Amino acid sequence: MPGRVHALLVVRPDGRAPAAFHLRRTLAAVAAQSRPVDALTIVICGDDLGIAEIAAAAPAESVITAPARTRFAEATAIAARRVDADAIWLLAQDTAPEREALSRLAGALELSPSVAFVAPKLVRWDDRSTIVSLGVSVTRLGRTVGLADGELDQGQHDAVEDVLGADVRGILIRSENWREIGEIDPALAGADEGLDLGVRARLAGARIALVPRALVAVAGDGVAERATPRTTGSRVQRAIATRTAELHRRLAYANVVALPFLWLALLPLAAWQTLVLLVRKQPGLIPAEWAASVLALVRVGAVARARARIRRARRTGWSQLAPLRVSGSELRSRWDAGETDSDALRGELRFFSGGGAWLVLAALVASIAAFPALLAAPVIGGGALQPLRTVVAQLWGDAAYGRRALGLDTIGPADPFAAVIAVIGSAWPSEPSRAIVLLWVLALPVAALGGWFVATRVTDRSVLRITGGAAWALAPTFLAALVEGRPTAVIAHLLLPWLFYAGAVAHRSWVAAGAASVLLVGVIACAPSLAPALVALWVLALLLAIVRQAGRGTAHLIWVMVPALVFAAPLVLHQLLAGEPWGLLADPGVPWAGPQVAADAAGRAMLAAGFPTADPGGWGAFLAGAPTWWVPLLAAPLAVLALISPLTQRWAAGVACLVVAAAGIATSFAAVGIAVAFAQSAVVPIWPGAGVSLAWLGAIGGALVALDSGLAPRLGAARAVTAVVVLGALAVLAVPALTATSRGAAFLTTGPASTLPAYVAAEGRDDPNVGTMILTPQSAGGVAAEVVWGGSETIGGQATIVSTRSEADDGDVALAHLAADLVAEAAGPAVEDLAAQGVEFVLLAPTAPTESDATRGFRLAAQTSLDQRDGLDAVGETTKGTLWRVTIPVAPRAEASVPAWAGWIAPAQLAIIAIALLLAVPTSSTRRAAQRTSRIVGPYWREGR
Amino acid sequence: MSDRLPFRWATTGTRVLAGTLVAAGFVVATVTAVALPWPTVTREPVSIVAVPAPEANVLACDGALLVQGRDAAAAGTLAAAAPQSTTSGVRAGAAAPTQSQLTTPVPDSVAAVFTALPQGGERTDVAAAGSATASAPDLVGFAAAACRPPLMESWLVGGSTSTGASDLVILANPGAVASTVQLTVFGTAGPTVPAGGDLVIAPNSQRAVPLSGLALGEASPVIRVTATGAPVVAALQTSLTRTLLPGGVDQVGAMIVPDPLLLIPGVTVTLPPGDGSGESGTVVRLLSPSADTTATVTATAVGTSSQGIEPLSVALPAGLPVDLELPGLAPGEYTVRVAAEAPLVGAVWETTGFGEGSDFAWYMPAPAIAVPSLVAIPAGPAAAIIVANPSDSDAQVTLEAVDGSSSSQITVAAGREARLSVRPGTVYSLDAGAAPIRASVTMSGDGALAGYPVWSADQAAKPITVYP
Repeated sequence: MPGRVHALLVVRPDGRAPAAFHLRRTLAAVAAQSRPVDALTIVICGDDLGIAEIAAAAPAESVITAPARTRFAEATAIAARRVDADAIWLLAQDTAPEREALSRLAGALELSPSVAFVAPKLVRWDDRSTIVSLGVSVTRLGRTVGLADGELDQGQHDAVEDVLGADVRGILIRSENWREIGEIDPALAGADEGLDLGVRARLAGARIALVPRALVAVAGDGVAERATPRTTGSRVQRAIATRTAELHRRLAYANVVALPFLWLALLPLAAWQTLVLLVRKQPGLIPAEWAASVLALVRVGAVARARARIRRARRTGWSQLAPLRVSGSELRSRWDAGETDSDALRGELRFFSGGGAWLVLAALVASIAAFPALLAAPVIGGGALQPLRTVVAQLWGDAAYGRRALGLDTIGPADPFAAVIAVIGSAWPSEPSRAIVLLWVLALPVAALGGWFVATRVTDRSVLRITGGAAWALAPTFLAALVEGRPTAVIAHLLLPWLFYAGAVAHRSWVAAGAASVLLVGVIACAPSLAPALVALWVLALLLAIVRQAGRGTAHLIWVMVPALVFAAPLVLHQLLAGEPWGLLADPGVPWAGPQVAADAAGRAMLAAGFPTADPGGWGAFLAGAPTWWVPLLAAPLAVLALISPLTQRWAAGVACLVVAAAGIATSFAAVGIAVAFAQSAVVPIWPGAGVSLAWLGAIGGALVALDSGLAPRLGAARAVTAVVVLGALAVLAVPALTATSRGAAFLTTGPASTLPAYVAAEGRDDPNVGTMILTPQSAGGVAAEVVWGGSETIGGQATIVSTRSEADDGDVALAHLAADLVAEAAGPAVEDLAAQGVEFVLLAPTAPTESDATRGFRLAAQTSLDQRDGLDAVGETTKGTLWRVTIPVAPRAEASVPAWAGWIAPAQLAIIAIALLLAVPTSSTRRAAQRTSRIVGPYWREGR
Repeated sequence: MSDRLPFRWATTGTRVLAGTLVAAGFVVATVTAVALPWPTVTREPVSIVAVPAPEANVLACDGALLVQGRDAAAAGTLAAAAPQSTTSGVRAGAAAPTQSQLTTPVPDSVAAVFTALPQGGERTDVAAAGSATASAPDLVGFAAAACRPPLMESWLVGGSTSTGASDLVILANPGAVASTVQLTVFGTAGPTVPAGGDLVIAPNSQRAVPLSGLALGEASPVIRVTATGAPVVAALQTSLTRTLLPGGVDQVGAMIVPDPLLLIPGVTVTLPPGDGSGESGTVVRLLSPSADTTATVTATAVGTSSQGIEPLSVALPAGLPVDLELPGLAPGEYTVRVAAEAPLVGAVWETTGFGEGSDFAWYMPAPAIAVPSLVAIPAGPAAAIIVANPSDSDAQVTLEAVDGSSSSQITVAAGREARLSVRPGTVYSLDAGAAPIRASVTMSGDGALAGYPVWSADQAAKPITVYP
């Protein structure tokens, strides 16, 4: 029956060039309709001469000029006021109807009087066989679902007629319905406008019908509905609009009773959505989520208007709409449709069938054979090993900003390494120290596992992956760290392969980027000396991503560095303010000047050969003085293979591996000359083994590349033989280290459960504020004084802000005077001062390992002086030294004056780790995406010869 | 893959060439980096030179002269033979030291302890000395000794355990905790710790141990007193009986550390040479505790540069004490000087005679005095302070009574001595600027002979290097 059809054409140039072209085609298409429109009103939002000319030339009844920011909803509302036709056809500059479109739309409207509006099938501007939109519905929770968006038009949806809503573009709506249900809701900001119109029409008792045979080509200029996103910015804009519309609709449609709760739940919901978006690897949409939520929160008036509009027109109940919603099962079937992927590049991992499991098992057996005594030990010590706190809560307390466990009154940031120790210690909550024992026993198999996995990034061949895993576990620097008892170096070596396993593909996916970011925190926490090299490699990777992939993946790569920055920030800030920037490079944990190469040419040559100790691989001690010049040659096969790798077909991978190796070697060369930490009066140089680990990783990668692609396929036997030669040489190299504990040549000891006498350990087990002053006469003269809080010095309780301090602070001065007063028979109230600081015990420790006469004299004098003190009661001689107890009332340890902002450090760090972990959780879609990429990184040729 | 052979050859050739360059560059860079000197960053550990707060000055006096075996029923018990009168004092303006007493198992024996607490963050110098005159049938003579701070290690040079000698090792612990003392006797058999050589001295008490119980038949013992737990004041009370006639008494203080140069000023010779029973009235006892060495002994009359005797050279085997007579010294005051390569301990024994009514004294080496020090002169016969200046430059020495009653200033030429008469019962301040002078108090009268060195007040706490 619709006699007159009035077309409203909204034009918004926005300065875009295509607007004019689109408008011309649209006008031409409108003009060419088999059933011509009876009237045409063009609304031009903004000033554009070209557009105005085109509009003037068009057979329009009127041309209205509106401000540039006028939206489609407002423009149609302005234009519709002067319409007196029977139906309104909503068009935009980029909606070109096909010739029969209007006649079919009008026909459908004419046939069914109960229909409020009819919607055409929107197809792509340049491809009429791809559907842009054909009907819109919502889920139970109100999320918009396009019923056929993006599908190839094969007529599969042409039978559908009844829908909840439709895209607003191209709909033909009866004028009386238009007036009855009200115009387009301007609060929707361009999204879901047709859907909202449909819902309101349905509530008014009318129907919506699709006319799939009426085709309208749309370009997505963004005049009506949101523009097709082309840039990240527009993608975020569209996400904001979509989410705002969704939230607005929810508030507008909700039962009035539920409304306040829904409104209050907006921000919590945004927080929840943040987590969901992280898991869905869409962190870029999180700002949009929050912007939309805040917008919905403040637009109370718009909601009220929308609700009033609905109330006015409503005739039927909401239950009428229920059948038109999309059910969960429909949604699932829709998603599952795109599941099957035939283009998977990634084969099976072949961890079990390829022998990786056997390698790990063999490493476990070797580890148990190498460290048999550790299996029964509850605590290991020696070297830089100390017990852990006995209570998990204290472990985590040590990882937070605040009072440190050392020093009279040291307040500052914890080393990130303390958090690593807390994580490890929490693995065995009843006896955290046992977790370190476990770490030592499992170190070899875990290293083999990591090496095997990182090898999968360079080769598919099982024999080479096994070679990589074994070579990583047998690295001389790793074995030296195990035998010397250096937990930082051991953990860094265990984490490094996983960092490169994930980091090598961080540009591909959020999963890898999230995992790599967490691993990077761990590696830098354990070995800050690796930070410059890793940052340099990260910058290279970033440049490569920008150059090679046109910037794809840069966000992933940038994220990799974010958690590490957040974790390092408090310490960096503190050390910079304290004027100790070099202290940032110091190894965390117990400062211990163990054996390592000297900072000279001979030492650097050893480092370049892969040995961080002057005695290569422990062979010098093993052979008791026999020449060891041949030992570095055992590492030569690996080095030679790595050097061959740039000559092979996979030269890119080979060069990348050599760059990693060079970064590692440079790190170790630089680190060996830096000594910024102090253990009592001894200077502790940085352990160069961490850099050697990095270099070793590069060397293994290069060697595997060379073996993988440097040999013709028919030379498979030669490949196996070479791999065996490399491994054989490394196995021989490892003999002294693996037999060190049984020979008694290792620094490792079982126990002690506490570095303090058992009496103090018992007092301090549950009370981290039991203070002990330890006085150690130094062989070079003088006395070292330190205050330890709790039952023992612990790995986690160490702090580089204490061990790298080269300028005395107030606490140091107070401590020094207290110590001097105690060891000299000063008449002052030294014990009272001690008690006022909360120190309960004084321990006079023997000088390790040998005591000179001067030291002995000093110790005896100090002992006499302490013996004579009123208020000090000699507890007795212990294996850790002579102990005194303060008998006068001891004040509780001073409350930490932690600045308020420091309270935000731990939540921020936990939040960033949580975000990284959420990103790292794989989902089915990420797994599918990963299947489409090769496990191997970089250009990869299978031999075609 | 391109199938065209020349193209493949070209790409392979380029790749191999570039790869070789990369690998060679890597090797060259590594070798160069090994050879090049890399910058090093080495920090010095934090060290704070802390000066401990000053200690209290504690001086313990030797107490009354004791005598053994008066009670026939209990031959081992000790009795007080003559009380000690003490003289003490501090610098003008300082608070007087508090005086307390050590508990002693001997009835009527009083041993005083003087404690001067630091004032205004500075040590309070204090000096005290005591003297006693015995005139009992079994003990006669005059003894004077300074009250001394307790030490962890002291050397007692003097006495003997041969027939006629009745010597006591007196150990005082003025501290608050018990001290465990080990006595090592250096005798003819070298250093030995005799049975009973390990003693516990209760806090704030004095204990006397007969030397004969430690080493019987030693003519010239030297005793090292090593304390643990708390320092002690060690002294030797030595007395002599020659065929039932008492031959004098003395209280001998301790020597702090062995020293390669022993300077004993104020040795007062009253016995003319050739007098008596052919024995010399002057004996030097020397011990090199740990090394064989040869010592040169000279005696110079005070105020002159003339040698009283020809320099004597004596070989000192490690750990064996040697007694050396100095015959032929004319009466007068001498400074005995002993020099050796190795650190020594030693003392000079001097007697007024070998008959009835004679007294003797052990003169201990005087330590260097680097800061103004106090010295107390106890009641007794005529007293003098002999100041020796072993340095190469003249020293301006000021001696003034702390009560302001007298003041004198003299110049002691390099290598010479000076004698300054002092009034008994007075405390003097001895100031030689920075010159490392050495000084002794000598007191002599009729049948009375005593002397003791002036200890430097340089007990101020030394700074301690602390590594926090």
